[in-house]
Amino acid sequence: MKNLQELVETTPNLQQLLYNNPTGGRFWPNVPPEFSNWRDEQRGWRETVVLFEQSYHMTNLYVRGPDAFRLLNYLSINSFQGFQPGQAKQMVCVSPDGYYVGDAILFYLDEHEFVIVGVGAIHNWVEYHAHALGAQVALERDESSRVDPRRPRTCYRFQLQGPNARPLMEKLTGGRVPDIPFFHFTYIDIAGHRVGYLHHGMVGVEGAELWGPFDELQAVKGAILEAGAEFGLRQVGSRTYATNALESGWIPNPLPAVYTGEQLRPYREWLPATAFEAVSSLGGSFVSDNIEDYYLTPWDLGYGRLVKFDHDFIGRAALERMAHLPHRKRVTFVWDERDTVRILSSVIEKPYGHNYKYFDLPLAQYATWMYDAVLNDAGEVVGFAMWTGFDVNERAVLALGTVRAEYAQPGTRLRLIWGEPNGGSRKPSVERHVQTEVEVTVGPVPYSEPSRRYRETVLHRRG
Amino acid sequence: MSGGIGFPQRDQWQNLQDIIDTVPNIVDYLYNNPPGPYLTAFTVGISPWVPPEFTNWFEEQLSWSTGVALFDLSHHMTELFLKGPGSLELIARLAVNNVTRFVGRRSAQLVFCNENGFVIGDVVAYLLDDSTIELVGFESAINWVQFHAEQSGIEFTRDDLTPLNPRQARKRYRFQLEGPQSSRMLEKLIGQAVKVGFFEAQDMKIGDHDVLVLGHGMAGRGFELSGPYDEYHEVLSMLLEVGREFGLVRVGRRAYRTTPVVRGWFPSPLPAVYTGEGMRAYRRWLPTSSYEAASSLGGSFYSPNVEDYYMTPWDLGYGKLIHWEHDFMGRDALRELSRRPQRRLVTLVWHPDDVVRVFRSLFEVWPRYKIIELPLLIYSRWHYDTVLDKSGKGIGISSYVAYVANYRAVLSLASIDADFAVPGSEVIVVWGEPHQGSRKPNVEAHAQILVRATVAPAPYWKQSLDVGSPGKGAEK
Repeated sequence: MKNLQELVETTPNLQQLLYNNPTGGRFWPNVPPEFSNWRDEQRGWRETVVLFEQSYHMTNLYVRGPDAFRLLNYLSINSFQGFQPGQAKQMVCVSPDGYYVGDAILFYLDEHEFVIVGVGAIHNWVEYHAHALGAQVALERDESSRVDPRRPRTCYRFQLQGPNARPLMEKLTGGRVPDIPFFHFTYIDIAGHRVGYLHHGMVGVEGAELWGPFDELQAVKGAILEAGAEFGLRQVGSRTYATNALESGWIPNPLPAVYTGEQLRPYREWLPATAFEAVSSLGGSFVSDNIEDYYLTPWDLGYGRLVKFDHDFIGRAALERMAHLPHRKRVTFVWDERDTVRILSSVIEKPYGHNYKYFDLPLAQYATWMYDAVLNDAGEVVGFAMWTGFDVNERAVLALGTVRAEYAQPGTRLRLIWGEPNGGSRKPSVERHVQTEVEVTVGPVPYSEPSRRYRETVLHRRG
Repeated sequence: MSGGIGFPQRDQWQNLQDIIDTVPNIVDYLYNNPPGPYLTAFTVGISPWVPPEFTNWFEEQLSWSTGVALFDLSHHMTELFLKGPGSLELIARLAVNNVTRFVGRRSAQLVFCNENGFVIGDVVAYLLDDSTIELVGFESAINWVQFHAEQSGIEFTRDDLTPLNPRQARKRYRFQLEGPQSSRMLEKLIGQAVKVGFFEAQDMKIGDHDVLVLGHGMAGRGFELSGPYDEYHEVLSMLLEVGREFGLVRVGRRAYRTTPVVRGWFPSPLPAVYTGEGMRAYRRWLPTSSYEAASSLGGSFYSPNVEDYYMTPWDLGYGKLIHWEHDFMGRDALRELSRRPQRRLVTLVWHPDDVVRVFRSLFEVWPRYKIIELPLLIYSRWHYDTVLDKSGKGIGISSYVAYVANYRAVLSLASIDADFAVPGSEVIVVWGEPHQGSRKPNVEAHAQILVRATVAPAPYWKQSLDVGSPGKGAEK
């Protein structure tokens, strides 16, 4: 098998292939599972300040050259009007048919120089199109440490988040935190090192993303930890890290819509059979033989406000056609407490073979792309839960997902199927189990009130 | 004053005795220590050597009851090799065991006590050849023997657990096969019938490799294989290859660390080294980074008197290993102790309803109980929970505690008064630390809860049906 196209052609059932791929749901290399304990680490971003260690799990793709701006604009649903060095964007790419392929943070570093920082399929997509379109760009790819944990990275990357992030930043900069708008960045000095500073809030209050040369990681982190002691700074381990998305509302793991469509055949031929798109796994209770049933539109994922028809981009025509159709909405599904306890307890209360899918606290993901079916009273699938975990701050299991608009009203009661059919797939992360239903209540995104308030302020300020 | 913070003298500390001389109470110090590298390296830390799970811990546990499990023990223990004349005499002088029997069977679980008869630690020992003794285990025993080897001028080599090993490579690999298919699999590997007794070691050949095989397992259905570390990868690939037809399951560290509650092996009693003038020289020899100084004490049992944590061989189920017919450290004291009533090692089966109450408290503002993490519940190196009778009187301690899918239960190893050490008797375990918890970083603020438990024998595998037993799957 040489490439993804061959794999798609020779596989009788692509969904089943991905559903049984051996990749599990844990992808945060090089960071200890816990520094203290995940309960206190989650509380840290609500009550004091936390340090997220983001140096390892993401891929950086540097795009440099005279065509960089045009290329990236052509691949993004986002408007690039007024986009300048010193600004960042959440870049979203869709297929020619208008379905989600990937998203990441795009930093406009300098004239003709960008870096795309994130997980998933977006880096492959950009790399391919740079070649296929003959763009005058040079690419430098700094792959996620999942592939080779010991390889040095191009840069370190931390975030400081929580109510004490601001005072900590003030201490670190000697009271001179640059006054820049949300998602703008500049450079500051920490302990004699030049450090990139992005104004970014993930958990409901103003926070900071910081980066610099990888060999300065220890020095800068050491200075932050020392300064942070008086503000109750907590380091967040890999068990806790990914649960912050539950509060901020970002869905990290939609399936990239690249498996079908004649137009994408050359892309699939370019993608090796070992690519992320080929070896990652589908999981959860939603099962359909039609892989396109897993595809999602930008609106389904809450990116509708990013779609701007002020430029030409891949997927534009399709999105223009879709724009006025009904869309799913991104929501938070809040698990019923009794059902949650029943599932946590089934390892003890149920005999062998009758247990429910084990819920690993605090993050319950057991595949790359999780799709749990959410049903209405008639038993129709009306949505998917895609990112599920327990949050101490909300004292609830929260699941980020998407649901048909008529069910998206906060307070709507729906049912979610937990676990995979027929005893479970062959993914090694899946033990034999039976399915069970969970009552869920639809809630807003972001779910946490501080995040919601902050987001409104930021959007308001940006007009 | 958590783990030394707040002690300005800290920079001058050179050894365990310095710490004891400075801190108001060594128990408080250890109780607020971080878990320490010896625990974190294999629970919360990063170990590139054995992943937390190869598949999922749940089915990895089941494999040792239903098929055959592969445990990799090559990394988490420290080894000491004693060489030449005098080493056997040293062992005889320090261990409670019958050394003649050790020599005859080439292996033994050796137990070391202090002069007062309290346990310092235990190791698995092998007679590698006529002049080399290999000790494998935790540092409490290894440090103790090394100290005496130095004093006696005996030649030794130490090989630290991999995360703390400067070379990051080891001298010996060590694998275990466990489960009903393990004999058949070993016979296929060796190419002939195998007969090896419990704690008996024999040289065998797997392909071109000389392998030391130890009979070791639950229900006599397990083996340990060890050999030169250079051959680690070759032997491992042969095990994986041959294991395919036997449904071999590789076990990660999450599931592996639950095996002590099933085996009835008490992994971490507090070493009885913190008191006594006679031990002062040893404490001065132990650096501040040592296992004894840098590990953590935790659980609901708290006493300001460190000696209340000391254990006798009987407390840990080692009474039958004591060989009175030779002179060894602690013998006279043990003679005295043997005339008094002893506690017994038992298994406690935690009441499922009370475990569920702890799960449910995740949703409460308060009381929120100390989290029950699966499958390993302990949160300190030396874990001591108070055990009460129904009237609330203390009757012993419950230590190592884990969930085992094979029995669908939370099990703990406990040492309790003989009156209660009767299968079926009902006791209470206090779960969680007093005063909302110590300052160990892995302890969140929590309330205590009383957990009902039923006494069962230790080792638990001897009397309980597991999922591998016929008819068990459909029960309940």
